[in-house]
Amino acid sequence: MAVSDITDAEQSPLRAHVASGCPRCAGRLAEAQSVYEQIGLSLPPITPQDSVKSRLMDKVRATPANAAAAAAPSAVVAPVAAASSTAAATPYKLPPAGVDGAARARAPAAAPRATAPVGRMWFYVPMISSAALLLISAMLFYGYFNAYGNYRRARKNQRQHNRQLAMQAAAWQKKYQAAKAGWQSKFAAENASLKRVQSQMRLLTTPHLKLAALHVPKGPAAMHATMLYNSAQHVCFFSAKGMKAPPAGKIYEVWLITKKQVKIRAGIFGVGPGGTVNMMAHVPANIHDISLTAVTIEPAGGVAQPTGAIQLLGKVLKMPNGV
Amino acid sequence: MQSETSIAGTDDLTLMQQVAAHDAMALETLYDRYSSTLLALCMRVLHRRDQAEDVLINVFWEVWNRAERYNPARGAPLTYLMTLTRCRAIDRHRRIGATPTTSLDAQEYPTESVQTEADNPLNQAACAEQRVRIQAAISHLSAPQRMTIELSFFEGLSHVEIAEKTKLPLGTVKSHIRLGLIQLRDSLRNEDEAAKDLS
Repeated sequence: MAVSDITDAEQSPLRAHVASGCPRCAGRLAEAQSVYEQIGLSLPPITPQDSVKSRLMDKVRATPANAAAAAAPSAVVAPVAAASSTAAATPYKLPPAGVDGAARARAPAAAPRATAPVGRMWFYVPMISSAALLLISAMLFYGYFNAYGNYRRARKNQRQHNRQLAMQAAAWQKKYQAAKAGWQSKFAAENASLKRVQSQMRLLTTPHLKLAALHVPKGPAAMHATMLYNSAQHVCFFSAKGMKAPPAGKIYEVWLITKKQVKIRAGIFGVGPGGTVNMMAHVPANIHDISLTAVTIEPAGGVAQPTGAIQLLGKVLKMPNGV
Repeated sequence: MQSETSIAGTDDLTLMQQVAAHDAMALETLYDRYSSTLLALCMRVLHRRDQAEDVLINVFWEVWNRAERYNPARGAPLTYLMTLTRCRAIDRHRRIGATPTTSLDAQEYPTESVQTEADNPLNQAACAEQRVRIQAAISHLSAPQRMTIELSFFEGLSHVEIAEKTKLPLGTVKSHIRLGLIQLRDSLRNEDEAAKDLS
């Protein structure tokens, strides 16, 4: 009995029950199916014409699958053989709807099922395999070259980025070095200035400090100068304001004069903008009794002994407690 | 490759396995063994020899291409071939609109060729004996049972369609078919037991 002869509402529980593995119902269904199909065996046989067999066998032998499969039959036999060996233990399964006539009967008349010839399938297998291999190879090559291109682009970008970083680092280093040099120079200048101030402070605070106020002996009082002299360190500082520029080819020269009228050359100076002059001069260590200081105009480069007229003159005085 | 002589005595299941392995000689043997029975079924459904032979070729071609679909757990190879042939014949019948007869009487069957399908005299005799037993079992069915079973088997009608065609209630149709098949089963079973006792 064909299961599909009953309604869909009746089929579903029956199919589900048989599929669940009930041996009793599966056996009864198989028996009913066998009885049902035996009805066809009651018909007297009719021998087909020879041409029918020829048509079939020509069709079969024309397929390349026949020769190919005949060379290795065991590979295809295995599933059927395995099914045969397990037939007794396998629960009865309902025949597929496509094989059941009643199911077909209820369906509307459809076009004949197109059966793909096996030979044509075997003919397409190598083509499809080759196409698949080519496609996979193309994908692999594409992936490789794409990845390699990306790698090269990334490497190029990385190099460019590294170059930019190096250039930037070099610029920063250059700027840093320049700034460092500037800071060092400024620091050195400030340090020198500080040392100078410290030195001046030490000079001013020493008890060996002596002071001289220089004036013009016979001239306007606008031009004047001051000199500090440290007899312990043998150094003097000269500062002047309102000085006139010396005549061409001439220069001012400072002299230290001892009590014995020995004239010691302290240094030469020109006049800057505003007539201001600041200079420091070392005094020979063996000179201790300086009593006067004077400024004369001498030939450019200075001279060993004063020859020109005295422009400024002052008496060196000892300060009682320093500054 | 087996020789034709050796393959002629091979059982159906082995033949199906060899067909699944695309052994053309096995298919030829299977054809020689059952083409007459299957063609009779096709003729019974279609009543046109050209259509019946065309369906027969298609059935064996389908077996050749899809023999691996055969599941021995579902039944014997002959049952599979009968089911497949009946389905294809009914499909063809519905397409061409042929009108089959509605009787299971053997006298109405086309009998222009009654040569047996068996490939040896022993099988020939066994098939003939089986056919007689089935015909005897069918003859014991009531007329409504035979008619409803025939409509179901040869025309592929569902119970509802049979009820519409015969103007019988659906429950009655189901009862006729069910009781007819039970009776047919019991008759065949009794025939088998009697044959065993005789042997």
